[in-house]
Amino acid sequence: MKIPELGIGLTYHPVLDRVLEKYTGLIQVLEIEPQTHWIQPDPSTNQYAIDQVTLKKIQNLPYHKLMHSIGFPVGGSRLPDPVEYPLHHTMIEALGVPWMSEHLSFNKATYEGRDFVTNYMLPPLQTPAGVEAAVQTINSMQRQVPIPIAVETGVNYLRTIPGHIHDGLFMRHVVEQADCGILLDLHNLLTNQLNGRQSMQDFLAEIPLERVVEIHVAGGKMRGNFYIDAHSGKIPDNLLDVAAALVPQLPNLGAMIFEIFPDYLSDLNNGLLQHDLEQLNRIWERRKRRKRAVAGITIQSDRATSAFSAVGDNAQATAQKEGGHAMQSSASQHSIDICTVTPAEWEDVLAALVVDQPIHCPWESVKNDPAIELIKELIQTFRASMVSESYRYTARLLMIYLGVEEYEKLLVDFWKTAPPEPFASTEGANFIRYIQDMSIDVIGLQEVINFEKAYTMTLLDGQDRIVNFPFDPLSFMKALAEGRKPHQIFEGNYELAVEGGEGILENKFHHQAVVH
Amino acid sequence: MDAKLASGASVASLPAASSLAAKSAAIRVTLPVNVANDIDLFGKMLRELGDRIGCKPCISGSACFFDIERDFVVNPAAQIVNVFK
Repeated sequence: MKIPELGIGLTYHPVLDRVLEKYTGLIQVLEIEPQTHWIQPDPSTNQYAIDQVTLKKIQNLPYHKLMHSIGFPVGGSRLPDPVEYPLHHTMIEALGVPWMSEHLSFNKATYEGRDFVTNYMLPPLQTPAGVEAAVQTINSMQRQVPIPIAVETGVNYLRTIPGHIHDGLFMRHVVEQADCGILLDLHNLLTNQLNGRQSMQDFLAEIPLERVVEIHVAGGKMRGNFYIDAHSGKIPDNLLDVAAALVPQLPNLGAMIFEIFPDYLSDLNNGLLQHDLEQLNRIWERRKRRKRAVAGITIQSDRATSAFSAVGDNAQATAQKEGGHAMQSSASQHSIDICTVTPAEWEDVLAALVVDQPIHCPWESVKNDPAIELIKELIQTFRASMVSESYRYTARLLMIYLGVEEYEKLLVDFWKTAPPEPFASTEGANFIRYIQDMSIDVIGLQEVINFEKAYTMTLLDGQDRIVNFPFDPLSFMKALAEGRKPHQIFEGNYELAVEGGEGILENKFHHQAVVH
Repeated sequence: MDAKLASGASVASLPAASSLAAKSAAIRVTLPVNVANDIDLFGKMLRELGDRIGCKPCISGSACFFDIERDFVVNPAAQIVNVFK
């Protein structure tokens, strides 16, 4: 596997354009999450297409590009959906991507005979059967993708299950048997350590470091008793120390990517972002000077030891300060004979638990693991955010007129009726269908829904559309934008004409749309 | 309701060149799609297309967009923070 040395980068999102302009000299790579630039124009069909306008824009940005896939996790027994490969190929070719990465996790399962996605990366079954399943899945992807693949070290909020293969050893078995690279997410390792799983130092001692081709760093925060991998801004200082100690010992490292979730950008002022980017660039530059081109190095330097100790100490301090966390002192009083569980069984049961579907969980320690409740909440916040993003006026209208509590009850009832969807368009459409079936009596509800649908469709196809309103739409929607009820409803016969521009679907790439 | 809005969205009767016929006596408000998300007009309410209909970014922590929205509706006096503005 020949890996070019690219440098320091960010996970790309359009809101980062201004960051890119400001810190051009500190950024050499953009990591693209390909599925975030795909669209599902019609929620009732499984047709996907690439947003060609965005693709062209990314293509013209003067940085190296990598792809970090988020829809194909390869840690489970379900093979990646082949219909997505042509879109991957198009993006790899258009962006000149030298390698791509995926998660050593799973997100697909079956419930009562129906396949569904969890919208959340869940931990694989860490047994010999789990290794075999992951290797098979990775191999399947390797056969379809024309560039090298690296798999990411994932977050696992669950307690360690007796009989499970250690996190690091599981990664080693998988990547050696699949003959692929490692995307070493240091913040995921930190998260796992803080929540009581394997320490970073032990994990790194168990994996083949010569296979690490990429590093992820990020910030996190406490949620209840857990430290979560929120990508919420500032990289913890001790994590930068670990990276500084580790990076010179990775002979095939090609890039270090700073992950920031767009929703948290407002929490991160420019000075902090600049500081972290400068730190990462220093680490990268020192690596060039000190790189040792040898394989299989263990982490033994004094600086590394000190950094790892500091991370451990900090973990305890943070956890105690925040009121204690889910350290695993009480792990499994009801042990599982984990080696008798099949990967598919593990995936189906765990997925049903975290999306709150009734299921018999034969493993008491998993069922009672506090992480199940945490993951359930994280998926729900994710789903609520998707609805608010895809139908923002509608969601605000309901919150303003029904009250936030009633709106949240609506969401909870909706979640019981439908599993999560990976595309905001489908999640949003399902919610809209649900509230329409409920015949909710809120002024302007149908008109606002019609406007949001029309706006999105016009962006897609560039066609003009008209939405009828029995009142002045501008003053009404301006009030929603300001988070309040309108002072007055100006009744009348209004038409809101959404004028089209250059649609992103029109006559451009119907040949790339894929149906399954 | 017959002037140009600050963002450039025209609020006027149907332009003669438009292919869309106005209903009799209807007041037509024309909203060019490229300015519909203008912060002066609607407070940048309409997210990036990818956010509205696409696949969500990779995350194993929490999404906070709904929390921001909920807090804003509960306290509409709160400012929408845009650090890069």
